[in-house]
Amino acid sequence: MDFRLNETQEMFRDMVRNFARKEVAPLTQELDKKAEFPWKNYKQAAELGILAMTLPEEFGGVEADSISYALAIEELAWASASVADSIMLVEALTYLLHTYGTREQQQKWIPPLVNAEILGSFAVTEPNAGTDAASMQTTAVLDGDCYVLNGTKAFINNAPVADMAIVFAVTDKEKGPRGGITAFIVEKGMPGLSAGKPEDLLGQRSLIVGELIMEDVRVPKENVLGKVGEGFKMAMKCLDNGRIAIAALALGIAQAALDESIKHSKQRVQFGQPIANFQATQFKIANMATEIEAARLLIHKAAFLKDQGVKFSKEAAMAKLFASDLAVRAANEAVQIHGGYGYTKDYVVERLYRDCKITQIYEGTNEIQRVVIARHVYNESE
Amino acid sequence: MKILVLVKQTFDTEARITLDEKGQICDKDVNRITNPYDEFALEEAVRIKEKNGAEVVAITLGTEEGEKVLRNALAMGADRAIHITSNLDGLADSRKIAHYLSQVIKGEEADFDLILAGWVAVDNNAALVPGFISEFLQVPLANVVTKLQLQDEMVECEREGDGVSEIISLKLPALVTVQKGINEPRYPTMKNIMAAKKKPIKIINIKELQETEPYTLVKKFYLPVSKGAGKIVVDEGGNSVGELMAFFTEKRFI
Ligand SMILES: Cc1cc2nc3c(=O)[nH]c(=O)nc-3n(C[C@H](O)[C@H](O)[C@H](O)COP(=O)(O)OP(=O)(O)OC[C@H]3O[C@@H](n4cnc5c(N)ncnc54)[C@H](O)[C@@H]3O)c2cc1C
Repeated sequence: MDFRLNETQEMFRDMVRNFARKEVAPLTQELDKKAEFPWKNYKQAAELGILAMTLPEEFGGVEADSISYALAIEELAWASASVADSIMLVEALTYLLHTYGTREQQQKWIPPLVNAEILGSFAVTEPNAGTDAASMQTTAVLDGDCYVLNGTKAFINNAPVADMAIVFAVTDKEKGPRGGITAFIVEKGMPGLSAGKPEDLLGQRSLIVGELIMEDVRVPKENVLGKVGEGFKMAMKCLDNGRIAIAALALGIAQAALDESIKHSKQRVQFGQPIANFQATQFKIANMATEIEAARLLIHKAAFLKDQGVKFSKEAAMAKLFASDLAVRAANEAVQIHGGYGYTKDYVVERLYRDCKITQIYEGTNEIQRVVIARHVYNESE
Repeated sequence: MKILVLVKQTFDTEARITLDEKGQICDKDVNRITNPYDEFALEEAVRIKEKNGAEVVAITLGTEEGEKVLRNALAMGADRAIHITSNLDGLADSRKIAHYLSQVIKGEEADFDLILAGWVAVDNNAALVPGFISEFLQVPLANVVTKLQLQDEMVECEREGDGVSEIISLKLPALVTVQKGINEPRYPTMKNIMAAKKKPIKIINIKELQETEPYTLVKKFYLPVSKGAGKIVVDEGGNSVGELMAFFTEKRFI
């Protein structure tokens, strides 16, 4: 057993940390206020190879392990959850393309995605199918050389600006999630494809999230990603990976909440002394620090298991659940420690308080994480 | 063209310095980084390499842990590195450090064209090592340079003086120390971090080198005395303004 990072992991982390603190953090507050996509940082991250880091060399990556990836997401989220989220999305898309795509699909889409030349979307959720993703209603019907797609996807990151989307649709209603759902690469400009207007989000306001609407969109057969009917399995696999990343993102927010709280509590003087001297403050800091440490261990454990090629679903769900609940608690305490100042947009913690909430909702709500964990735990007891 | 870059591991600029019972600087659990000024030197070397072609060699004298600094240099674009390993005990004397570095340079690296270094290290603020090295190697030195250009056998350096700047020209081989503002050091890319793992680091134990006597000895370290608490004048409707004015006058602020 060894809890130390190896030299490469440490170098990746240090590089991303420097980048996040010097280049990302200074822009975050302003971009959040204006609800603007972090283009500058996104392109910089692409140049540094962060968007491609888990991919093999031929796609510009270094096959970074899952711990390195979690470290990178944590450091980015410390500075901007929106930036971290945008980068995670590329990872999900390129993972799917690389794992299930044909050579042509890989060569067409992976380079522009990881070079930040285009934006992509991952579209599962629908207005009437959220947690119950298997009940999706978007259909794809084969007609000659094309599948005809109809339906609406909701809350899709990048949808209003995406150049391509991996869309999951029902190809066989009878079979449902077991062989009846297929993934398609839908391209901007295909007739019948449109996007709703961006949602006015509570937090992570630099994301551009909206509906993706398909009305008789003819998608050539070559654009089927993976095998027909394998879509649901692919989406679930992607979510498993994604959970570790969301956990790391939540951890970055929690760490930022702690760091801001330490800074503020040492400066803010009341009753003639810094509020850091009050035990009430110290207990909050101690709880945050302890839980952050625990979350980081859970995340690294899940990432470690994934890299070992063994089952990691339970650990990933635990990491996601624990880290996102922690992020919400930590941001809440951070605002409390800042008092009224923390309730204004002049302070980072106000944004953290808004940015953290979604981590309990997407990539499987925390209720569902508990369902997953309980299922594993009961199965193991048999 | 061969460029040597002197790099040093320093404490993180945000680290809090403390002294132990024996009055020595506590170096445990302190995050260490590459001296920020040395990163300017590295960046400049790599830019020359990218423009004109050059071999860039990073050299450090330091603890084994200091290898991190060399890996960072290699990830930024240096081709290879030399690590003079030492536990740094009794190595507070800048001339002594310069002596060891020069000895190694005079050996296999004697065919260098240019040596670049940060003009100062943020930890001890002495700014002496490059000066000594230029003497040991008998090469011209330009200090605190903000712009640098190679021309044939010369290097042209811009320096900012107090109220007036100068451009000086040095014949190669030469040593140039650089100042903030000369460039914006790059972040190593993921790919270059991986590539750095495969680049060679030559290790030379300091014990293999010829010793020398220090010129200076550190008598003691002490921490700056913290400033006393400020004076707070509470306005209770009385003579608070007068009290404040009296304080200002007494301190000769007004
Ligand atoms: C900013 C943002 C970005 C997003 N990005 C994407 C994206 O890029 N792609 C994409 O496909 N989706 C995306 N989503 C959608 C997200 O994944 C869903 O919002 C999430 O899956 C929850 O679905 P829902 O909103 O329909 O909530 P619902 O499913 O309606 O859930 C409502 C509540 O009921 C609970 N609940 C539901 N079923 C159960 C159950 N069986 N047991 C116990 N509790 C239950 C839930 O836990 C929750 O608390 C995004 C959402 C947001 C807000």
